[in-house]
Amino acid sequence: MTSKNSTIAAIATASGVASIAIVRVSGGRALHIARTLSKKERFTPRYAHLATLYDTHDDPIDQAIILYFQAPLSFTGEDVVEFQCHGGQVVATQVLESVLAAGASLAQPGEFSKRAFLNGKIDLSKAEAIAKLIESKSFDAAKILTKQLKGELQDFVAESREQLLTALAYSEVSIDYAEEDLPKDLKDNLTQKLQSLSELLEKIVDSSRRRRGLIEGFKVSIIGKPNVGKSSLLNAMLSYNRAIVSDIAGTTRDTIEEQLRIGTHLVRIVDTAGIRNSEEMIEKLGIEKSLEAAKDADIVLALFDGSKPFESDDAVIVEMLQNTDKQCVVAVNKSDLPQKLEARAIQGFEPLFISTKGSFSAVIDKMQEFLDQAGLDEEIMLTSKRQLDAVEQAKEQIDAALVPLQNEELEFFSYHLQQAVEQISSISTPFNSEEVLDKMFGEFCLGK
Amino acid sequence: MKYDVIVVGGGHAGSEAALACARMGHKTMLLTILAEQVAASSCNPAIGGLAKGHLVKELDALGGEMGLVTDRAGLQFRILNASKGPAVRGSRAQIDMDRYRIAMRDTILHTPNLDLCQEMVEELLIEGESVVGVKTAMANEYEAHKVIITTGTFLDGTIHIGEHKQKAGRAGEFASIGLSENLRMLGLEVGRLKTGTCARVDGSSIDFDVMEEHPGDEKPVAFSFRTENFDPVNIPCHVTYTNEKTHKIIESNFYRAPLFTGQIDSQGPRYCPSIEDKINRFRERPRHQLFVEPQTLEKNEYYINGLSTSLPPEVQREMIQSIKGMEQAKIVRYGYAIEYDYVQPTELRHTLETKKIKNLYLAGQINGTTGYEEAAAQGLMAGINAALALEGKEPFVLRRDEAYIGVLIDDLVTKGTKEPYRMFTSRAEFRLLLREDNAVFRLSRYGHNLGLIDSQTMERIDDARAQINEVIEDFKSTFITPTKENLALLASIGEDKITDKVYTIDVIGRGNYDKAKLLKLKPELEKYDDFIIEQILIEAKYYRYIQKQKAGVEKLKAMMEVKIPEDFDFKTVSGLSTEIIEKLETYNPPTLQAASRISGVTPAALEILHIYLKMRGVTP
Repeated sequence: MTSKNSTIAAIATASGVASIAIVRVSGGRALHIARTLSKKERFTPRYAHLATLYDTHDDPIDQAIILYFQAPLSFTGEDVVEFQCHGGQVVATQVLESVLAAGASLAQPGEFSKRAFLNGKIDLSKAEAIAKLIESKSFDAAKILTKQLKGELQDFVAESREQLLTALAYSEVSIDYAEEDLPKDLKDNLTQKLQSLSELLEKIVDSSRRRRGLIEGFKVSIIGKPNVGKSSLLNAMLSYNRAIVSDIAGTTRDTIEEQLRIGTHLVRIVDTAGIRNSEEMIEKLGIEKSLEAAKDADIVLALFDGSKPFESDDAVIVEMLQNTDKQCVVAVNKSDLPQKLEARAIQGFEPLFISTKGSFSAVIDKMQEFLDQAGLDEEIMLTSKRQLDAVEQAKEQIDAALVPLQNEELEFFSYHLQQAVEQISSISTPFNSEEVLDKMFGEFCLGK
Repeated sequence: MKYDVIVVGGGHAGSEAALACARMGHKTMLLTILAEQVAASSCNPAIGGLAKGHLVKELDALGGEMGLVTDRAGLQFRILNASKGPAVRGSRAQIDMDRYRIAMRDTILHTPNLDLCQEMVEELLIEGESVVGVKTAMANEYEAHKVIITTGTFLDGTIHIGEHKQKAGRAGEFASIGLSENLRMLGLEVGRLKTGTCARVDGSSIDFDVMEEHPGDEKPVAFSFRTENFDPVNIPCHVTYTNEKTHKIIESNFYRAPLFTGQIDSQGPRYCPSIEDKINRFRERPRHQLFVEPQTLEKNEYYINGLSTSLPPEVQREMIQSIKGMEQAKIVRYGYAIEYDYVQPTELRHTLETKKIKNLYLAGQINGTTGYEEAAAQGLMAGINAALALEGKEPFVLRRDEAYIGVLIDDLVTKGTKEPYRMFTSRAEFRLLLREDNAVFRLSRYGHNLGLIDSQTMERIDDARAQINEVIEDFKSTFITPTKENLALLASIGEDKITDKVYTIDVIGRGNYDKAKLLKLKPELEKYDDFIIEQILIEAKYYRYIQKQKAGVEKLKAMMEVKIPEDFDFKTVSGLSTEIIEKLETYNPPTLQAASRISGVTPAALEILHIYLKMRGVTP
């Protein structure tokens, strides 16, 4: 099966100085390539073989450990060979070049995972997790994706799918075995089960949405009236711990997004335009803009000016804080200046008194507290839009199925349920109608 | 003796195949072991049921015979799932199995171009890669351009009753052993399956008074659109149950059951298990329902539906006599299991012609199916395709979204089967489109073009379609507004009120309308007959769902239209078997659709190819 596919290779370890580097080869020619480079004939699968590697001119490159994984018992499902050579770009590149010269082609990004998926070694949710894991920027993301890679999401999908298939089988049996004496409480039983499944799916979608920051980074929005010190606070925080990734232009010209790390979390701060370019611009944009940006934030950081009296712009902010269900951090800035703000107006929000010129770490601590809580939830996490859409649509179809079930219009019930199965299945394994039949005959005593 | 077509085997598949070829104008010979037993019912005396009724209606719409004969030989007619939606309603008839086979034999003998002869075929005559005729046990040779084999359970059949084993194709009839060896020799993949039947009981020894009576529908509906003056008898079936005592008798004789002793090792149908299998697998069930069905109008013999068995004769007697109403039962014929050879249907093209031997077609139980209806449907399709091939015309293949027959054949030839294959409505992914009630509208045009449906019938169908369309189109383009009068009207017929203007079709589709309510809302429809009104109600009810399913069909078509680049290297697609890669390289299909038509390219392979094409050039 694998002999006809091209053989691919890549350096599997990150660039930079390290003690070892791994060159991974997958495909029908992998073993041949190992033999060519090492001049060794015999490779026992899953054993470490110490060998000297030679380049095309027969000059030795390095002494390396060669691991051979025989198809289909490998990550990709094809023959896989790994060369563990000495670290550093030079040696690894030399090994890779010799591998390519011996008949492999350079792997596209993600191609190993793609092959693993196409060969049925991993399901889609795992493939997605691998792709994202490689790109993940925070420990939170890595932790969740590792759980997904271990198959937690796959298991959840399998369980939900199982429940839906059972319900579908009940319906199909009632249809195709019209004259069989079947249990009479089918309808109530199914209604109850599907309602709780629907609720569970909804909960998972909600909590995944709520926690999507664990993967993408949490969105924090700084709001406050002009000149309250939003940009100063942002700049102060950025110098405190700027994230690996630098500025990313926002979707519109008016916003700028900055990333930084707080504890183990990635935080994205959405900033209204021109903050660092022109103080005047902010004056013009006013408060509406920053309220707008707060709409899809995970955390709202509201800033008040301690050196000025409470005014109508502040009242707008207070009103927003009172009505939001988001996590809010409220801070009074300019604690180094004489205080004129009447604390009474914002007392309920447990304000933190800070100065961007002096101490502002209380804001960071408070945010970390919120972020740590968000990470605590142990529930299944849907990590991509595709997964969220699939579960959401599955839920919609389950709800739609419950309506005709009440009138015992089973063909419509089945129709919606089948859509639900297909949706939920799309997360990991495609649906196959034979499964319903297997269920039908596994659960019921049928036929004459 | 030279024929255009020779059909081997005169069961339900063979009868339809032979009639189709002869009616399409080709000189046809039907060879069968016993002329007496043409279209015999080896198992239960009934035609139709869920999904099977669909097949019969489709067969009828295409010009097949089964529906017409059922209407003539029916003992009672019922619509199953009448309380559920139209898509999952199934017509079922109890038949007089004697009258059924006699009616079919008469039709065959009266059909021009069609000969019937009692001969056992032993060998296929082959020239190069083609079949050119058959040789019989009497050493007669018949030449033919096309040969259709429809031998049912007769290929190397072995009957089991307890420890007793016997070579037979059906109780008391010869098995066909030479032909089976011949097919293996020709390189076809031959497997073995098992099925079974129950004991038949003398009607005068049954006490029906203690059983529940199950009559047919009061207003019976004919299977065939072409049946006239339909006025059938209505003979009841009866229902009784097994009990703990029955189960004990069966259980204590497991050690003598061929199914458990290893005497039978081939796969039987899960959905039609023997009683010993049911007791074994579902020990917790206190009772199993049995239908006691008359076999003929004279009600001399009864079929005990639900009691299929291959237990020894004395156990069968003891077990039957433990059942309420059958304490005095006399067995006329014992139940038995039968093992037989079948050809793995992946050996076939969608036309049912074998891939390895040209001009050789297989239909019915030989392809691993079970059921009279499944057999007849394949017989008709094999007959039609053999005839079309003789005429040098394009093959006739029904798609999965067009007919259950399309689903049946597509499942068989692309997936193969390891157990006897039975049709279920759940196998049809476009179930809401494929209803019994619209079979004539879906398929009769094909039947007419093939020359199997006469012009008069076709006109009648076209006329009905036009009337329905007119009303549906009107419903789709008009609204009902929440005026005082309309609200009062809706309230008077007990339907939900509307708060906004709503398409007429949705008002009717969402509600619970019958003819009377519809006529109150739309008095102008008074002029239409019941059939048309019924159809209007169904189409309104299904309208939104049908839109969705049609979108599904289109989506599938769109997938099938995905282009495969000319220089595409199939070898780079992991997960395809070497055999499939070779085929794809040979034909170099331009689209997935074209790839799907290449024999041996499985749906799974198409899916992999599709994903691959989608991912190509895109970094995952």
